[in-house]
Amino acid sequence: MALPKRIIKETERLVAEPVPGIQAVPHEDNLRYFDVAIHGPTQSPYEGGVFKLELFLPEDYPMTPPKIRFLTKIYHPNIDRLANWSPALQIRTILLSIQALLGAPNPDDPLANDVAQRWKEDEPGAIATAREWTKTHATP
Amino acid sequence: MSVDSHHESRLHSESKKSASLPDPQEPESGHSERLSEKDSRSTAASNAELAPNGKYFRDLIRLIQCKICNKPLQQPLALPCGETLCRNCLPPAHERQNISYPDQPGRRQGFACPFKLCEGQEHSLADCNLDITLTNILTQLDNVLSPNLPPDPLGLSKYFTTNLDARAEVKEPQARVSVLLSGYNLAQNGDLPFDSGFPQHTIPDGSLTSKTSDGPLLTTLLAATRSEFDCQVCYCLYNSPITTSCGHTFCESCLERIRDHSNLCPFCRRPLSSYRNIITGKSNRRLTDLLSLMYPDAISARKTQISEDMPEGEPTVPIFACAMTFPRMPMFLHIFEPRYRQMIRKAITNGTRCFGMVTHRQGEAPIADGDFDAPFNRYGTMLYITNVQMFPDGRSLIETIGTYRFKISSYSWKDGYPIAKIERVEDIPYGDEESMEATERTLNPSSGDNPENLACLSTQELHQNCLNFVSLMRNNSVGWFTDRILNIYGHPPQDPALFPFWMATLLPINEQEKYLVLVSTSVRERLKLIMVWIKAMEQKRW
Repeated sequence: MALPKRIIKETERLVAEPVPGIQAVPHEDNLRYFDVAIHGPTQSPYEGGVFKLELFLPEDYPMTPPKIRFLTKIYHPNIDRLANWSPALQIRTILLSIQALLGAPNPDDPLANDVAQRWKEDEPGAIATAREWTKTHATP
Repeated sequence: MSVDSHHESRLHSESKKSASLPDPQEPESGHSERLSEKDSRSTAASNAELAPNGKYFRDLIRLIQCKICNKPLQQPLALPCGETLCRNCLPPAHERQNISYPDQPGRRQGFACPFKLCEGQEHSLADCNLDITLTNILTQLDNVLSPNLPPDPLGLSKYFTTNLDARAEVKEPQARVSVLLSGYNLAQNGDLPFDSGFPQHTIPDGSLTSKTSDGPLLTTLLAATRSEFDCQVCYCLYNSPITTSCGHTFCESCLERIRDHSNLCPFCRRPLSSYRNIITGKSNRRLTDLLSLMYPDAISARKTQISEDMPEGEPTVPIFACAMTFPRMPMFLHIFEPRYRQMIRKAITNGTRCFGMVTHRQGEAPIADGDFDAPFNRYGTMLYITNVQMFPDGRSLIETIGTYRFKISSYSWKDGYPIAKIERVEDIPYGDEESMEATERTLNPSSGDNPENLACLSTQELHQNCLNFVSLMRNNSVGWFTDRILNIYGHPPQDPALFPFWMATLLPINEQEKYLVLVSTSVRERLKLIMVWIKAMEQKRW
C-alpha cells in the first residue's frame, strides 16, 4: 500500500526542522522504519551519551502508536513506556517525551521494576549506575 | 454643495487608504514573505481562477460573520444544531429542570437556541464549546486583513456609505477600492447585516476588482489560513470536517478510524460518543463552506485522492450467529465447526480480531425490521478477540469482549458463514436523552396510584432502584448471581449507559426480551426495560 500522506509529511518536517538532540532517519527501503539517536539531556545521568533506538510505524499508524525499542543498553526505570497514545501525537512528540523522561526518571510509574526499586531506595547509587552505563554503552 | 463635500471626504479617505495598502510586489507581513516569487507572479492568474468578484467576497465575509451580532465571529461556539455564534451572543442561560442523566458539570445550564431551525429548542451549555479550528482561521484572517485597514476605520466606513449622487462624480478612485477590506470593515463595525449583500452604491461590482489590491491580498489570505484547514490526524485538507462538542475538528473518515480504536478525543481525551455531530455525522457547515469557497481545487483533488485510495466496495465483517452478547461484556466461545474455525483464523491473521455476533431468529422478529429476511436477527454486537487457545485438531477456545452494537444493512454468504455491511448503533445524544427525561417527568410529576409508573422516576433513580435490587439479590444468594459470575462480568457498572447491558447478560430472561435492550438507543429506555423485568421477578417471588 502507498505510504500515507501523514507519514510523508511527518518525515519531511522531521528532516526540515529537526528536534535539537534528536535524529530520526528513515530507511531508504522501508520508509516506516527509522533509525533514531537521542542525546542524553545535560545535567542528567545520561549526559554525553547517544542512545540508539529503532522506531517502526505499524500499518494502522497513527491510530496505533509507533513501536520503539532502545538498541543501546540504558539504566532507566521507565524506558519504553508508550501509554496514552493518541493519533494527535506524532513521531516528534513521542521522541521528545522519551528525551524528557531521560531528564526526569519517574520511579513511581515504572516499567523496569528492579531499576525503579533501586531508584527509590538508593537514588545516588542508581544515578551512578545510570552514569556508568551511559559511559560504557552509550558513548560513541 | 453636498456633493462636493462628499467628494472631498472621499478623496481624503482614499489617500489614507492607498498609503496603508501593501504593494503587491513588496509583501509586508510575515505571511507574505513566505510566499514565493512564483505566488506573486501568479497573482493575476489565481485572480482570474478564483473570480473574486463582489459576490465571492460577500460570501467569504458572511461565512465569518455571526448571525446574531453581524460582526466577525468572536470566540465562536459550535452549537449542537450545527449553527455558530459568538460566546458573547449566547442567550441568557437558565437552570434546566427534571434532568438527572448524564449529570455532568455544566449540563444543567441551558439556553433556548436563537436560530430558526431549532425553534427555541434547549441546548445544554456543556454542548457548546469553542470551535478551535474556526477560531484559528479567524485569527489568521484578521492578522492578514487588520494591518491593511486604514487607521481610521470609521472614516472608511463613512466613505463607503456615501450616497448615490457621489458615485456619479468619481469613478477613478473607486477602481482602486478593496472590496475585501471594506467589506471586512463594514462587518467589524456591525454595519453589514448577515443576510444582505454589500450595499450596492458603496462597494463596486466585480468587474472593477481586478484593478484593486484584492488579488494579492486574497493570495496572502489563502496562504495564511491554508494550514488551519489540515486535519491533525491525516495531515491533509479536511474532508467532511466534523467538529466534536469539545471543539476539535477531524475528517469524517479519520473520526471513524479513531473510534475503532478509542472513544476519546485525540486532543483533549474527552469521550466522543455522546456528541451529536458524531452521531448524526453532520459536517461543520462553516468550515465546509469556507473550504469550498477558498480552496475549490485543493478540495476536489482531495476528494479524487480519497476515492482512489478507497478499497473497492464497502468493507464487510464476518457474522457469527450464536448467542446474545452486549458491549463491554466478555464472552467465551468454543469454536469447532470448520467454517467458524476459518472465520476466526482469518480474523486473527488479517489483524482485525473482530467479528459480529448476532442471535438466530426465532419465529417473528422481536422488532419490526422491514424486509430483512436473514435466518438471524439484524442487530448484534461487535466482538474483539482478546485471547485464543488453539488445539492441535483445529478447534479453539476464544475469549472476546463486546465493543459496539451494529445494525446489518446488507449481507451475503461466504465460505459457509454470512458476511455483512454494517452501521454502528449509537445512543441518542445527551441532549435528546435529557429532553426525553424532562418531558416524561414533567408529564408524570408523581407515580399517582400506579406503582408501575416508571415515567415519574429520574434516570438516576431508575439506575439506583436497579442497583438496590442487585444488592438484595446478592444478599439472598440467588442462583444466577454468584461470586463466580461477578469474577467474570465484574461488579454492576456505575455508568447508567452500561448497567443494562451487564444486567441483561446476567438475568435469566428470554432472548427476545434481551434483544429489546440491545437495540435500544436510549439509556433511560434501557433502564426502564430492566425495571420491568425486575418488577416481574419480584412479583413471582412474593
